[in-house]
Amino acid sequence: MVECFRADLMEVDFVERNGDTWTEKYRPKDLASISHQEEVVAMLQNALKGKDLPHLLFYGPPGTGKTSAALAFCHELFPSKAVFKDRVLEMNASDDRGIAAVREKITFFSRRAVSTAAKNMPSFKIIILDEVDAMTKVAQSAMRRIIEDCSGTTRFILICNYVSRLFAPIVSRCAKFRFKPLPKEAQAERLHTICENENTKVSVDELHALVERSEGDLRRAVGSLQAMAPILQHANADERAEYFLPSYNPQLVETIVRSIKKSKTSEIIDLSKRVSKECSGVNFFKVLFDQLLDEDVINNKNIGQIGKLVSLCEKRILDGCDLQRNLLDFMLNLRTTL
Amino acid sequence: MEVGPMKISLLKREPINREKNGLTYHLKQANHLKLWATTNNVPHLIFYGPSGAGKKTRIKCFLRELYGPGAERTHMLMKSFTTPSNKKLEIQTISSNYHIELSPSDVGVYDRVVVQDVIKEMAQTSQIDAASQKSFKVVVLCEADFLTRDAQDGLRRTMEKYQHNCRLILCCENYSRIIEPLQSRCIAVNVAAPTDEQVANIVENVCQAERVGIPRNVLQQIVEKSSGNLRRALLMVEATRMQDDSGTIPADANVPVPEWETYLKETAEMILKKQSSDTLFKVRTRIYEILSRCIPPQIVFDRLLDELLPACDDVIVPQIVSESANFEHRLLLGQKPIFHIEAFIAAFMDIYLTHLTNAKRVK
Repeated sequence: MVECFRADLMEVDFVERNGDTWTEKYRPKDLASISHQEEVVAMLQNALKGKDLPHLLFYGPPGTGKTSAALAFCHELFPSKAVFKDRVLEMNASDDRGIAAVREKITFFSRRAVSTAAKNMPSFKIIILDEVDAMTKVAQSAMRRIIEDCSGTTRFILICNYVSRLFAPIVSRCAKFRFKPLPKEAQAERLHTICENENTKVSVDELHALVERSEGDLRRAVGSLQAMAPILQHANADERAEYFLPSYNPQLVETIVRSIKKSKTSEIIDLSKRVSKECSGVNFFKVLFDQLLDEDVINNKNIGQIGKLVSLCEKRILDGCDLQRNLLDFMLNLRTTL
Repeated sequence: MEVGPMKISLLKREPINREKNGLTYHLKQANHLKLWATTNNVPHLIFYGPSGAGKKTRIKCFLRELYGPGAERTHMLMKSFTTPSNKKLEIQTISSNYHIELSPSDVGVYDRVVVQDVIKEMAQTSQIDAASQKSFKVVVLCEADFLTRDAQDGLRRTMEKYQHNCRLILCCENYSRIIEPLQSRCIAVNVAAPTDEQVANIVENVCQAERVGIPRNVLQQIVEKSSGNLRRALLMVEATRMQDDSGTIPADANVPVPEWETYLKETAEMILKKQSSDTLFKVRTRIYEILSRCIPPQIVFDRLLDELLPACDDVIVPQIVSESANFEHRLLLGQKPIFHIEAFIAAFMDIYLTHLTNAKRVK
């Protein structure tokens, strides 16, 4: 039985290897370097000093540092590798976490008594459950008793994107911490340090453009920075500027916003065909909606109606419907509403 | 009517080789891929774009750039795995020494197990002889937009944890169906459909390489009908060539349209001619006929709308489009396509007829 969960324990070391992606290389390795999540960091640091640690629930949008915070905390709590392996169980959606797995692995791990060999270390184990919102309802409800029964020896850190997808009784057993999307300044700063370390020359303006593109998601920004680094070395100023442009074609959006009121039906049909050839999915809708708001095409009077339209079309596309048709539907309806 | 042999032409595409000598369009992007390959700086990638735009071709070229010609020596392999409910399933993979390609959505709802077992296992084992080559291998996931949410969730940590010995390349048509956490971990590569000139160029080049003369006007027809789908364009060349026994394309050749398209066009004409329950009944048998030939219902929907819209007055177009969008959505959520297509046709008839009678009354 011991072997059974041993095999599932993944390596969570921070060993640097050549050719690592920067997102992993620059993942915060201690609590101090986690930017802009003061409440969580303060609480975790207190826990390190020996204060009580409740069960935790981290939630927030992707790329804000939830998993990093949990891992960094555990590493600071159990600095020695052997103890870390003994005390921390990390499970994520890539592991089987059906009801059977909860009953066997989690129960087994949490019921096990803490070995007393490691001195000066807190006397509990930690189970990190990443992506809990992907667990089934049944599995989640099976966790209720386990969380309570084992609170003597085990602390749970649950991590998810949407707290609303969790089973309510689970939520009420944990202290909730929301991870805020990172402010643009903080992101740009972080990117700047990475650039310096990697000897990549990117100007501050360009970094800001990059941050703008990645919408509060630091991981995405770091990822694109790495992808662009070799390209930028070979580019001249004009080309460089091009790479930091937004991912959609601004002209198309511009045309739609300007002309939608007066266009003929056939023109709109052509336009929708052009868009669906170049773009894909909901992103275009988001950009279009923002632009319409900025240009005051959508105002207080019609925002209710148009918001409804946008959300309907978005839902359909997310369910896998054709982009062109929904775009057409949206634009035709928009014209009528205006 | 016989929708007959339209499937066979697909199998015959081998004689005309596609893009033997590297990529010919979106060159800038191709250069970026090349740079990534040479600097040992490969992010996880998502290739997305419409069908026939050359996503797979691009991935293949990228792999060759990464690993050399060895990446092209592939073989097929069935991998078997067991679901938690003890069901034994198999999935087809295509692999070389350096990469492996599979579409987990083939096994339906069990794709989660594929991700959790098969892919994770592949990601955990490291590359043999990593010193003399790239330190990672590549897993190519096709039709990634059809992965269930569970399966996509399963990829998240795997992607991060084993990134030192495994890179993922996802290939899909609908980028927005990839969940946000995965989007945030990958670099998106948009493979847009080639423009008409590019299609014309490529078709000409292929014809030259294969020593098939292609008259201007035929080329023109093919470019128009392919609407940016390269695969389709090349298949059409093939089909046109096959019409004549000598294997050459005469100047007055007609580019054959798949028979089901003609059939659908006739159906649309029927709908426009008379709007009654009688027609509806006749149309239903025709739609059944088409569906039974394995034409995807969404394509039937698309074509039908394309045929019907030009005949409509501008006033009713918005109504019809929104009905079609609505029914297409239901078709995706529901089980039996025929209901939704028929419902759309009925709705169309209603709108069309009401408009016609109103117009008459005004006169």
